[in-house]
Amino acid sequence: MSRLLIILLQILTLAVALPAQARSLTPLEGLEILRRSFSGIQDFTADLTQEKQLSIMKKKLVMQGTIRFKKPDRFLMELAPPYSGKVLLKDTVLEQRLGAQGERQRIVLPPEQGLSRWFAAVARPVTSVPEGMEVRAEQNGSLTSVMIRPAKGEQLKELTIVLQDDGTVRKLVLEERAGDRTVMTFRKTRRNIGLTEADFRLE
Amino acid sequence: MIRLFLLLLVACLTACAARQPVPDRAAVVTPGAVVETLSSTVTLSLRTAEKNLAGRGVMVYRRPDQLRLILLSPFGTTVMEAQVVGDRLTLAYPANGVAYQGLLNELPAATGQRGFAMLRWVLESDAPAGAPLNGQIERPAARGGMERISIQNGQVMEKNLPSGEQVRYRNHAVLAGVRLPLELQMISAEGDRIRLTLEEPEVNTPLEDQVFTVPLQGLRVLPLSELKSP
Repeated sequence: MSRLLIILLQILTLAVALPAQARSLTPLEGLEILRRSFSGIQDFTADLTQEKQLSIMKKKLVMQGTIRFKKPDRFLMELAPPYSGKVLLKDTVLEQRLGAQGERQRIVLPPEQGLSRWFAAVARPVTSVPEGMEVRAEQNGSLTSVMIRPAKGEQLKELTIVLQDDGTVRKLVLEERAGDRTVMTFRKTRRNIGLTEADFRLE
Repeated sequence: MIRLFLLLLVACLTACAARQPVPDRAAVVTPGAVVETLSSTVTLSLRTAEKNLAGRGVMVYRRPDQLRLILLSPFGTTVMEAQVVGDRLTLAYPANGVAYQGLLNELPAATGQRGFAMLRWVLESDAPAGAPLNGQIERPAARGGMERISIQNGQVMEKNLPSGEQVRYRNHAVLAGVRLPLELQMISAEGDRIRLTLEEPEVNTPLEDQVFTVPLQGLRVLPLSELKSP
């Protein structure tokens, strides 16, 4: 689960950095552009709306909040009431507070699951599409979509990143093999605004 | 791999339902009305000797013995599913491609997940017929032995088993004519503490059979007895 979490963090960050393309991309081109774009980002923030359609409920689940990221290893997600909560990841230390009065929890991840290691891996040049992965890209007006199908057997069936023509992420769609679907829409995305350590606190 | 359950409770700040009517704490209870079905977003916290974790998810329940609980990651993906039907328990961890099935009494004690074995007993929060408005009663428990039930103003506030298992019911509200606790605090025989809070409960709405089915396609299904500690 932590690996999935980290992968999603990467995709979020890469998507923010990705400049829109006015042409179809080969899988390798798509991955390489993600890598190059990531190299130009130091931090970002965005407002987030997350909608999830669960088979267990007729109604769509909706969450709103903000996310922040700062190289090399900081990530913060803050959820707005009525489901307030915060998740803070500092490399291998994951902390969270659930609800306004919730207790603070802290988990130390194994070193190989640290955020800095994952982003270091992403920074390496892409020479081939990872085995078993499928990557597609298409443009529709001012929006560019990059679809990634992880290797078979993974929980996620497909990730779709939708970007505006200014390169900022507009939407992220996660489809799980079990059929559940999550759509994350980003607004007010800002990059390289000089986030500091003070912007990554659980309090 | 069972680290997943850990991280379930680690990372599960999650998705949430559109706003629902807030339970009316002053509403009138319909005589004889009980919880036949329950659907709710929930927060779940677990405190054991080694861990202190919390998460958010969705739960559905149908009397007498069907329950499904989904715990979600910060990005809305499913971290873990639990299904209880009668005495059978299924735990699914889709990120790890594995699920465990078996009888509740086959759940290893050292996994920190014995609370699942208590759920059916815990969810039976109605005051027994003929119980006093205030006081304590004892009666045979379905889980064995005699359970002691504490009642205040006609509401069950606490149940205890000789084995040390305990559940406390707090923040009662009335929804659809049914009084129900919005917070359940469980203590297992091993001393693990679990707190379940209902956030957006809907009571006695029709629930289709399929909502109680855990999708197992693509998962490796193992005996519940092989479940290990996170």
